[in-house]
Amino acid sequence: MVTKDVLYKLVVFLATVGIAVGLVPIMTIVERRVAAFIQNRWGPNRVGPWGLLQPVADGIKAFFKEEFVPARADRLLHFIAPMLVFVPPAIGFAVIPWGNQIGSVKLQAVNLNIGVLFMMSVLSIAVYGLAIGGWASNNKWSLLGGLRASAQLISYELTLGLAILVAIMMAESVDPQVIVAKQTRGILSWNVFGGGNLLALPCGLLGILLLYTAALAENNRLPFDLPECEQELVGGYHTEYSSMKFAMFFMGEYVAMVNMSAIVTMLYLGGWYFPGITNPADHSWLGGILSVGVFMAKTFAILFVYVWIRWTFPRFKYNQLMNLGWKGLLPLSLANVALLAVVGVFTGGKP
Amino acid sequence: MDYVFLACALVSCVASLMVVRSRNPVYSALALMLCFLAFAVVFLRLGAPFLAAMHVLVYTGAILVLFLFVIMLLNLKEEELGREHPDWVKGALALLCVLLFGAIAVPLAREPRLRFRLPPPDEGFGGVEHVGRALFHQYALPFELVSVLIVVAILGCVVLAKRKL
Repeated sequence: MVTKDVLYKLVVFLATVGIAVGLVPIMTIVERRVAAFIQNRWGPNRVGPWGLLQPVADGIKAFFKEEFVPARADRLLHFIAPMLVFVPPAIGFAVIPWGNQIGSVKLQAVNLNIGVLFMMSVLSIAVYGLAIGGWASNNKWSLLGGLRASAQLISYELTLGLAILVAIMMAESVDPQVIVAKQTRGILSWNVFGGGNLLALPCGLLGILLLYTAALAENNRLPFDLPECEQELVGGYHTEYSSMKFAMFFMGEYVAMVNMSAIVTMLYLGGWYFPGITNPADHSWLGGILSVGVFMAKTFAILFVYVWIRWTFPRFKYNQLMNLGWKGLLPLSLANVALLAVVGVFTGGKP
Repeated sequence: MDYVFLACALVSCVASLMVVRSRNPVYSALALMLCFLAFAVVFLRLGAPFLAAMHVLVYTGAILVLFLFVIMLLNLKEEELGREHPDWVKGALALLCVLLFGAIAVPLAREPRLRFRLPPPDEGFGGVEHVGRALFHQYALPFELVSVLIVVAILGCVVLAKRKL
């Protein structure tokens, strides 16, 4: 029976990779179509039915472009940087439970009892790709783009960590399975609504707001997409990249977005649970597939907000970004953690 | 034999050598990152998952990025990196280091009093709850004193950086 278990594990593992990477082309077409809708135009609608094959065409085009490395660039690091951007978020997806269990198989690639910490530490490595990519191109503006990216990511990682801490405090665990399991007692037990404690409701709402803002900055999305800027930096850390390596930077950004949305879903929005649709005790095939569907729907809703924000808000200036991060969001998230601790002590939670 | 430990030890040794050997400081920083990742795996093997995660999160994800940031900001040219010592000086120093290490390691390996087996650790040892309990109950005072020390260090940095307040 060992081989059967290994086989199940392998299927779940491959499915996890498939979800993390497979959502990327879907997101690119969704992004362009939604952008077109918001700007009152058509968007890509020529390739395939409703333009659905556009990502395939983009991929083929990227493969056939000329691969160019600047003469004085550092070839080795120039080659490694796109991978450093792409791989860490894909690995981080391994600990995310993207469904309830079917039979005895949990729909999660790796079950770690320090899952959330593992995810955060893996995500913190992605910044190297941007910094190294900018440096290895041997171009002043690329370097500035890389520096901007690393400074921005370090600054917002604090807020991100504290916002994740709020969810950890509510669940009293860093195990993703436990965090989701504690949110399966009705819609009010979701961490965004205080994790079953109504007095903690403001903390939950503020927590998801801070987490999402920090996530936008971590993923270099508008209104915080300062690392790339045509007016000031020609392009950004990826100016000197072409062909598939350039595409890999973008895929890395989208994988990070998918990953971040899954994290928000898991930590604050109850993971795969939705009252009336999924039942935590239901381990049948139907229940499992429904739970995956619920998880995907929530993740897609958050991804949609990413796109919506991108085409709605104007971008910040760099000093405004730093001011907001250090003087606005960081004290606010510290206050949020302190408030939750006080609420926890007074309502009989474990101190 | 613990092959995972051997592999990690090899990676961290080679990476450490690269840190001091490479001419380019950016490569040094990246080798240090590899070294830290190998350490994290060793921590995992020793039953300290919390320490492993924090090691990557704090050292690799934050401190080393700041190193890299400063190195990239200075962006030293070849002529600014300075001259290296001649090879025979480097060789002699390396030999001295190996001898010094041997002088400490060989007697320790032969010491009979060090050949004991630790009892198996408690349930959940090295996990978040265990470390948290130790930090906030058993060692609460030293922990808080360290935080005071860190605040003092930050204030010192600010004073040094901003002479005119």
